[in-house]
Amino acid sequence: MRKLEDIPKKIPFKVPEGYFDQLPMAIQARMTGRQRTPMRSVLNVSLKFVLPVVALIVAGIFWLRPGPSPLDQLEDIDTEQIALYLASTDRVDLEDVHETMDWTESELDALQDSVYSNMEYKENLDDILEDIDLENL
Amino acid sequence: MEDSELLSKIRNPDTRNYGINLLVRAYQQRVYWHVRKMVIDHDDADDLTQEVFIKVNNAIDRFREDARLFTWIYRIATNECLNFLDKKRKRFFFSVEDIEPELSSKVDSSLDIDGDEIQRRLQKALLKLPDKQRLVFNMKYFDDLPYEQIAEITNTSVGALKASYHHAVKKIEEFINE
Repeated sequence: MRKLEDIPKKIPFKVPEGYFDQLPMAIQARMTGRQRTPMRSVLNVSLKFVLPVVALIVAGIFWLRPGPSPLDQLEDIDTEQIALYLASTDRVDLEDVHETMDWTESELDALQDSVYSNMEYKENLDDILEDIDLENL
Repeated sequence: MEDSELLSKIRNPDTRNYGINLLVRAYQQRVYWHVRKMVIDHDDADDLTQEVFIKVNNAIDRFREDARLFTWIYRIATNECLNFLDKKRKRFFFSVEDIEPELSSKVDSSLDIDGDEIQRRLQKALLKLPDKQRLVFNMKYFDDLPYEQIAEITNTSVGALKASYHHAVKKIEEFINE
């Protein structure tokens, strides 16, 4: 069993040649560098804290700024695009839209005409029953 | 040059830079090797050694001479080493590995390290010790500092240091013989 005292006491690290001759100059340079630039360090600290605060204020202004109302925004959209959207989506029921609108009497008549104009009115019950395929019910 | 003479030069504004230069030249090697044994890498040791002397320069006016100048500088160097290793370890916080494998691989691969296999093995065994125990071991084994002085540097009792050193030796011998 090897003991610690069996190992020659030697530090196995090396330094570059002339390192200790140059080290005092390197230290002196760092000391004078730090002494000459106190303004820069103050500026650095200021920037470190001031910049995030300014960024937060700017973001807050944009966030809280009142934008155009939804009705104003709707006015900017083409009516055809709205109709296409309403026809293609199941989120909004057309009946809901109709209910919320303030129809005039004449508009309602015109709407009714347009809805029922293509429908064939059949008075005779036999005619109606003929159209129904009773075998495949 | 005596510490008192050195300090009087540093405290005189006309000779301060000269005094600091003398202080650096007097203690640079001891500080460097103390740091190097802890951080292994030359560039890290170089940076930390410079940082130690900058701190010495900034704080020398508050040095009250109730300890030896060398002990006081050693204490600053010790703090710098421990802080450096702590910061390094925090960078590994989310990693499973500690810094020991990284430092250990430097012992194996660095061009700034020579020595035979058993000396490399001793350095790798030291890396298995907790930082403070490694510091105590280095100061006692490599620097031959008396326990009383190590106690002053580390702010620990002599009894605790003796126990720590003997425990470290046991662990190192176990590793070397694995």
